[in-house]
Amino acid sequence: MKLIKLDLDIDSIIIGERVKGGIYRPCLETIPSSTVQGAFKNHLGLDLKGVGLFKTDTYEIKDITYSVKDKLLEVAKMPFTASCLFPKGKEKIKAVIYFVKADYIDKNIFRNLTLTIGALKSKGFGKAKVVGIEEVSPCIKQGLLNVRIYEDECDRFNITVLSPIYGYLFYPTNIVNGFYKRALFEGSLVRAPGVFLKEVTSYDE
Amino acid sequence: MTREFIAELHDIGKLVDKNSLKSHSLSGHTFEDFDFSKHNITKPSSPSWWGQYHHKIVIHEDINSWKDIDCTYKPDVFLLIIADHLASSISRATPQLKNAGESEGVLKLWNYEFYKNEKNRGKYWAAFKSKEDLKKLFEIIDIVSSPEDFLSQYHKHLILTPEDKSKPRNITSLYTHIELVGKIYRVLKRHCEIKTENVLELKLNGEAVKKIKDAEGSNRTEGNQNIDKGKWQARFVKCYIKYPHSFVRLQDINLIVKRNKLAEGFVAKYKDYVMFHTFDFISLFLPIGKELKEMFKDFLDNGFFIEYIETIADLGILRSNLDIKIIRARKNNKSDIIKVLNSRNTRVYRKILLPEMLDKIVPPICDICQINPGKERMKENIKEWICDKCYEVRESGESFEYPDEWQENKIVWFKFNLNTEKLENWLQKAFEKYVDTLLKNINSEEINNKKKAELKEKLKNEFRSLACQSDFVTDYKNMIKAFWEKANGLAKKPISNYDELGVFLYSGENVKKILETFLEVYNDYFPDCEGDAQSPVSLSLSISNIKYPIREHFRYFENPKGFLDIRSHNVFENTYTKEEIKWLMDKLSETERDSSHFLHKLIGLYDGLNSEVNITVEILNNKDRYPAIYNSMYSKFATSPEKILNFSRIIEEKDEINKA
Repeated sequence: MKLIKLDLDIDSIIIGERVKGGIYRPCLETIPSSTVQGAFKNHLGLDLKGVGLFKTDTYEIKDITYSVKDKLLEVAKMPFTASCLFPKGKEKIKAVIYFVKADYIDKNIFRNLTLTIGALKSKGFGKAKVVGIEEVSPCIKQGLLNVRIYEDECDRFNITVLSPIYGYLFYPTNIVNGFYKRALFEGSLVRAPGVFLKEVTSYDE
Repeated sequence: MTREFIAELHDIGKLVDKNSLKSHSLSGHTFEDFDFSKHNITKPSSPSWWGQYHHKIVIHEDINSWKDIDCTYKPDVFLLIIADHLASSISRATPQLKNAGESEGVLKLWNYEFYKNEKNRGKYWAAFKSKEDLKKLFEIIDIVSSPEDFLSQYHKHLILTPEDKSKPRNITSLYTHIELVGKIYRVLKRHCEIKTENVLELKLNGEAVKKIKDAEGSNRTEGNQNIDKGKWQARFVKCYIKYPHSFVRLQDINLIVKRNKLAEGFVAKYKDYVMFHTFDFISLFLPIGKELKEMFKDFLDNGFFIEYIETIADLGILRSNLDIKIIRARKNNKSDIIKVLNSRNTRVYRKILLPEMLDKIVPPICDICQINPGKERMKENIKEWICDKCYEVRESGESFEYPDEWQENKIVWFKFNLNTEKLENWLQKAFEKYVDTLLKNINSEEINNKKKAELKEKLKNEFRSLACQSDFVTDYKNMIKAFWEKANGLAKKPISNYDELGVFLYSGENVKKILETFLEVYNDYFPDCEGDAQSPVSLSLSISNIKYPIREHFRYFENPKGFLDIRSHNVFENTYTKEEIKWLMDKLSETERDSSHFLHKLIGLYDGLNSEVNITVEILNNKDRYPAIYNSMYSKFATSPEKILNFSRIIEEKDEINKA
């Protein structure tokens, strides 16, 4: 299986966990397939299935407090604190997104593309510049998953589930609605392309 | 009343001080050949008496040919011997390290002076030192009514006596050894079918045997011939109790109360299967076929995940750390080991038990567990979506609240942690170090270098860490208990019967006292366990404003990195070794006296410029004027100035952190 790998440089990003109501909003340290899909749909109008991950040691978690205004009622809402990923040191946050290579996708459309990923986009978060495009053919290995992906998309990425850790990712059905769909979370034992693994293992299957 | 066979009594003879009973010419630690009439002592008649024959049996001998033992109890002795082998810290096949000598008391690899210190306090390993005591020993074999009865009566002697006095086998306490033997024996007995028609044979998982050797097989895990596979297999399972929940409000930590209650219930229900346990880890010995999902049903019903590593192997090679050996062999492609393990049908699985989870959830989803549909709840004008289970946990039990005087202040949450994976690795290394020291001291005329190397390798490979792990865990639990006895007025326990978690009002003095108390109890219990990144025991401190979300403290506690992890929210995050903490506390207090304003200047500089180079230059420029700071920062450790300054800030009297 061939994958297209996009290298991204990011200034700061918030990919929220699903806690929406609280005044504290923690941030994920991975780019789930739901987020990747949304980003491509918005920018290219393409329904691309992909998964992403951040390179460790290129980011650190910090908090920001943000005051929200209800535009409809013209009133201020209770401020909330969100955790965000910021670059560690002077370099940018490094991330990669993988999606399955298909004939109908010309990889040149990603050249110099700037995606916006995650939350608080209007405040400048989530700008992710594509700085590298590469075709990779990773070997299938057994290991612990390092990405979050809808369960029913595993086949597409050649991921065989051996022992899953499930959670839920939001699946939009239109611009305002959606539901939570069961997904495979980090730490699941799988057979998958090596690039999706945080640790290669050799357990019996 | 039918008296039961109490396996724990098999090694009672190890509590006898033979030097005080020379006239009885005792040899070994069992009494199967003891001349009762000569010494005018009544021979015990309980079933447990037959446990004394456990060293008389030859493992290649058919159980039907065993002499002297009452037929009714032959199966008990058979299973006792297997359990004894499984619980031993080093396999029976390993030759003793001749000339290494013996030790009177147990040697803890993490506390070499343990026995000596206990002896200085007037304690002594032996429970039976006179003729009268000896009579009592045989009475005990007759009258003890339960394993617990014996373990509690002789606890103080059993914890001081080594399972085997010969070095290097002297590293396990007799208490833990016999406790494990008793548990394994009862598990085997419960699942073993005893067939008595025509000939006696024992059947486990459909495999009938008449010889111990046939059940166990050899103890070989490498080589290319004479593999000698055993017929009986069993499982060692390491279970990690996890939860997907993130705590939204302070009361949500009731989930930990729930976990602890479930774990207590589990350990009580399956006590013989549980080899040892911590608050979030359970080590199990199980026969093939015992369903884990059924055993952990209560955990799963309450939303917990159980991640487990299961090793299935012949009894001859089964040990608690076999999974590590197998995975390492596979990783390094050690064909000689892999071949043997495969032909012995040895397997290691990593699996996760999950609660029932729907394919999809129509919003809202529960804010806390995020695996169930949430229901709208309103509290203090804040809307939340919480499922019934999480809401029940939130509302159940005592709820911890911060004292009023803490409001608007900084607080420190802290958590002790015992990493069982690190523990296995640490014990293996500590044992290897011990063997190296012993061999170094043996005269090379007595044993040539080639033989020495072979022996060393064999000893290291044969080490079974189960009993040591259990002893270590007991000491860890005692250490955190001792911590709270000393720190009770200083910090609060959010969950009254859970010693790993605490919180206190931030001040430099309080942080200093907590760290000093931690080092004090750590040095009492683990003086020979280096407090570094490899240390199985660690402490994490998370400093923040009182309003900072509780879930973030717990997220920080999830993966401790070093011996001491300190995070001050939005200010810094560092790890320290034991040596660094002690040295920094000593040196910084000296430095404080001499040159506190210079230290403050450095902190200010660092806050402003965030540059280590700048700090370094400043210190070097003032080397002659402030030698204490120069020495404290550069003379001993390769510790970065940032780490030193951060440490200095948190143990300051003044709340320096507020400035940041």
